[in-house]
Amino acid sequence: MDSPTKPRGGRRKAADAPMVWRMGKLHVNLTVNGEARELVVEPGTTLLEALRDGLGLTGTKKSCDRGECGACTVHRDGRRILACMTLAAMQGRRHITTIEGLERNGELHPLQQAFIEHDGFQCGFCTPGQIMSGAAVIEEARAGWPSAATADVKRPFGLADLSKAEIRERMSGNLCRCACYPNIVDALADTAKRG
Amino acid sequence: MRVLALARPEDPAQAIAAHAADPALAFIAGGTDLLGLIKDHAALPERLLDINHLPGMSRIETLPDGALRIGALVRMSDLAAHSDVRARFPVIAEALLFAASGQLRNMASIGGNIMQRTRCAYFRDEDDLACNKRRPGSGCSARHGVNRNHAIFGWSDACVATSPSDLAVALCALDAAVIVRGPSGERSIAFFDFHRLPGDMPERDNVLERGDLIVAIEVSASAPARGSHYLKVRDRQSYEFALVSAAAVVELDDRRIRSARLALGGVAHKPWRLAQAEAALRGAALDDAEDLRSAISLSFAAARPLEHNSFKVELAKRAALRALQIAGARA
Amino acid sequence: MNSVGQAISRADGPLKVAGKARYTADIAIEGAAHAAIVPSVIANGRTVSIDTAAAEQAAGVIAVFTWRNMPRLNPTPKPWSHLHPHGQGYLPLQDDRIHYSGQPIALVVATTLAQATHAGTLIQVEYEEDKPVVFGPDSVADAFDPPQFLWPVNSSVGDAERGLAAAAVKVERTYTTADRHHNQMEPHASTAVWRADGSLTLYETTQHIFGARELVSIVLGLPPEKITVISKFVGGGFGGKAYVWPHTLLAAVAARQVGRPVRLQLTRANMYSMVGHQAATIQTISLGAEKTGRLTAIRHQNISPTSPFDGYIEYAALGTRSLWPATGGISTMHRIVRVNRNTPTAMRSPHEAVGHFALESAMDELAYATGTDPVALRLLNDTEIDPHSGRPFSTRALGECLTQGAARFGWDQRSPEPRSMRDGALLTGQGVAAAIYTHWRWPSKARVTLRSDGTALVEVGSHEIGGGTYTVMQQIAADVLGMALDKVTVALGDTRLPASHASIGSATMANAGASVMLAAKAARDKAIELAVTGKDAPLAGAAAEDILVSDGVLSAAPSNVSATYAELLARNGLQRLEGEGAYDPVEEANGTKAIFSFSAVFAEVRVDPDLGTARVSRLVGAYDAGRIINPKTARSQAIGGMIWGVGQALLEQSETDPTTGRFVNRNFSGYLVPANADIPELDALFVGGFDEEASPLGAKGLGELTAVSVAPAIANAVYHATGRRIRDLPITIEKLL
Repeated sequence: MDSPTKPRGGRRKAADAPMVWRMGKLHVNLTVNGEARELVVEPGTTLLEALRDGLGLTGTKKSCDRGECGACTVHRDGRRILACMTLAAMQGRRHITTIEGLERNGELHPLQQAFIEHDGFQCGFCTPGQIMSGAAVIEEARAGWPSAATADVKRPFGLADLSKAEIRERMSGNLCRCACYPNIVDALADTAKRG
Repeated sequence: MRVLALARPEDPAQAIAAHAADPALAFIAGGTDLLGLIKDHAALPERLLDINHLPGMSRIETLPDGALRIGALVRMSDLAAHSDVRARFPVIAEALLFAASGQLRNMASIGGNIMQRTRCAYFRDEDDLACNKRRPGSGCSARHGVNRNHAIFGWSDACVATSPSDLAVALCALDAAVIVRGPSGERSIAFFDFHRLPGDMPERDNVLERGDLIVAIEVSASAPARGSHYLKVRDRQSYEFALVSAAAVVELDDRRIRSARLALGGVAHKPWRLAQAEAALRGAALDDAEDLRSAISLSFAAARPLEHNSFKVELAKRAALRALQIAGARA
Repeated sequence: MNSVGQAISRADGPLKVAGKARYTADIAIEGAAHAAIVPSVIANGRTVSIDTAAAEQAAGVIAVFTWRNMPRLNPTPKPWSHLHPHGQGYLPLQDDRIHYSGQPIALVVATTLAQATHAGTLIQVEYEEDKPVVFGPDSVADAFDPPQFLWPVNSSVGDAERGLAAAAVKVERTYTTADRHHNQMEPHASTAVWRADGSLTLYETTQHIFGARELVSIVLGLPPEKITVISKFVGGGFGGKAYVWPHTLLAAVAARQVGRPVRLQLTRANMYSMVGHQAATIQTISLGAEKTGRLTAIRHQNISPTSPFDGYIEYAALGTRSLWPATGGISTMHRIVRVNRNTPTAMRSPHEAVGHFALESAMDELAYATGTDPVALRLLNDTEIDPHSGRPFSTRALGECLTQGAARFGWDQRSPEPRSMRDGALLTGQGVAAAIYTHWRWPSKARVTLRSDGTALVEVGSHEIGGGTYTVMQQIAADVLGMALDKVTVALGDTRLPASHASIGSATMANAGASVMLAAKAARDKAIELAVTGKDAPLAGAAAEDILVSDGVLSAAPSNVSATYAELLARNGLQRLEGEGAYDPVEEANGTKAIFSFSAVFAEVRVDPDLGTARVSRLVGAYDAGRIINPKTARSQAIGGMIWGVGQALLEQSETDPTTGRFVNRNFSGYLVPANADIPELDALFVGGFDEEASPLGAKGLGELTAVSVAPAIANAVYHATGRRIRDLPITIEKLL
């Protein structure tokens, strides 16, 4: 069964208008790593499963599948999220970036390069999630977001305030069992400093 | 996951009517709690209503009387980063920032946050253990099981679970209101009344009925909340639910407490207000730690720890005291 | 141009940071079905009935297996032992017995994982339940003297009892450690693909491809040459992927039965019952000493749980046999208890990491009892002779670990009294602990091939589990060959490669590395021979030992004639030139020297006296792991090990439900591994030198050593901070309130 979504841009419909139930195989149009893609998923398919199984983007990892480890971190419309805890069918028109899309013109993202230089990984399994999270951490700091490590949330925050203690707190949603945390922090601090 | 159908209502009335009519339907916003429950078979909705596009529910506003109105679809990270919230209600920003992770805060909605279900390991177990919250009448595995993380206040033999939301503790201390729209219109529920104690119906976490949709949270500006703080105690430094937490909102006259509002997390099936302590704290000197401590202790006469969590009684007193002192220093 | 000893960035780094390293579950297999395990919810009893009708009817379901229709498997070798590569002797779906909670009682195979998982929930099971035995005061009374499976179970040198009786100062204490789970970030996965010729390819998350092949061969009755096991990248092992666990067998059999490839990946919750764990310990230590602190007697006894069917021993007192000498005597003893759980297994760092918590905590207690500085006490008791075997140590730089570590840490600034140091409202404490770690010597083969394009290929049936195997093997071969690093490619993780050992026991560098070195030498020597005696030999007349190779160019000073590998091969009409390496060392126990790694760990903690929270603020680890091949990857292993120690000390415990015998906290929100915010700046220094007994490379084991004695250093620091001696890990809030 294939039930299209209601086109966006239409105005609110009346309360008594029937809702469109989508079931069976759903088609979802979105942008992944800069390319328009169509996913064919079931209502309960997570974004993680759709990326891995549907698009073959296996850089995004399934580790806990419960939002408790960060291995599936991707960006949605520029923000870091967990692909295991959102449904693929809810991503229509969204822009998703995975680790495979972080390179620009065949060049590694500076943070990817910094992870290599600082040895920010061992087995490498959590690494895509760490890097996607880390890239977003720098943007969040630039946007002035405080964290639990911020001494006074009332004060404005800026990229220059992104201390190692701040990085540690902000990266705590990405577990690493090989435990490369200090190197990950160094890679981020270095990248943030270089702007 | 066993979800059969998905729809995206564009009007709250439509969503409310569908939810009221269909017991196998659930709202989904961020999904960060619901999807975990579905994967663990602790929730079995067949149909999901994606409410993320409902209009007017994603705004953070200051109302004419100075009250803060937080749309139910506002994301945790946006609320925590909001400069007005940080300045006027630091307890809210802190409760959010000490919760979950950066990724989850970008996803989870405020309405969903306060609806989070307990982290009791027996409730969440994907193999469907005895749990009255999950399967009424099946028993409570935690009552005589591993219950370090469980309640010390207000539990029943049917359920000893705790409520996991940090934000809810802060909102409870702030005397916030939950704005709910249901089949018969909109109503405001005092935050303290929103969550329930387990009693003999632990399957119900809160007072919402079928068809009820949280549209916003309102925090009154009648008392200043600049002097507020959220303190979270946990084994891990970050990314963990609270073992015990304390939210304090304090107003001072000189160095004496004019009013103190205290709520605890991690100790009960709902955010736990320390009403007796609050009354006794009126007029107390902020710098007299012993006096503050005695006042706080009044609220702990009702504490009934379980086999593995008796330490929470003392820990919660100390957390409340420190939250009170830090909030007072800001007031 | 030697790369060994240089801080080289990882060869597989560009793949790993780009998400292009393919782990087992990332490998797409055409037509693969997906399997989900249905676990038992009871821990003891049997299944009376298993109704699979609804599951079989469910959408996408291909097959449902229970003990009734699962083919019978060959038994694994007896007696059960870790000399064989099976995690546990009890095989899945073979009878109606239930021995542990989470035991597989059915396997659903379906087109998609979601279908398999959903169908699993439709299976109705009726149990006959017996009360499970759990590890605790009641069951410990039934502890027994187990059969040996690695080292002797008990040991006695001298007369420890008499030494204790005569001791001027005695410390007698019981220390306990919690059950823990590996929790690798990558869940175990197995994809089984049968070919038309009856051969089997297993894509496997394993630290031991050849072991997996051996065990699957035995259990399935399939000749090993018909089995290929592939494991190119492993997302963390830590011992938990070293042995074959039931899911691998289930995937292989299910794939054969349904006639298509089957992938079985454990869920996070599965990882608490389908694969092993580190068993809890109850350890009793008695130290006798002179008033100076010189040890006169040591007695160390351990009790740990095992499964109803296998006799896993956590050899907690192993390190105690060799770390400190005692003039009177040393005795050690291990007992085990059968409880309803699956078989425990090796977990970083098996035996030593749990045992050193007791030994090195007791040493700290002795330091306070004798009024001796904890570093000085250890220096006083240092030795050059292994107290257990009487052999001299090959190398033992423990003294340097202690003194250099102390200097780096600033130990001389420590005020010895407990509760005497503060940082504002927080109590500060500093502690130290020393460690000894087993060195394994195992055979390994490797092949190094010089290719006509001037590059080289290293082939060794080893594994990349995070230790940097692709990188260090490249370094070793490149140096021996005299070739640039980027000209050397390394192939790992495939049983079609030369056979190597398990990547466990911190043994890969010293053993697999040695075989690569030998293979590279063999290839180089063949090339040199060609240069001297081959067709149009450019270096004819030169003595082979005078020939140098640098950047792929062979030359013999003072002549300025030279030839590249590529030219030599071309000149002799060769596409390739292969060197074989077979490293076959004498087992450590049979050598003339006692070979161990050593360390000293210095910890600083800050304790909030009101809230009971202890956080590590500083760690310095000083290591004697012999020669360090790559300081960059070695440092990463070291900080990783330290963080494992932080987890052991402060966070990690698998809690057992007292009634149902089930591990309760089966996920990352319940089982707490350290997060980034738990970890301060860490400092690792390497003080060891070349150990020729340990390996031709001079390297001793490192990876596991680094997780040993972090916990006692932290516990000793907590004592120093608070005056409270915590003898039960982890040190959680309630213990410090």
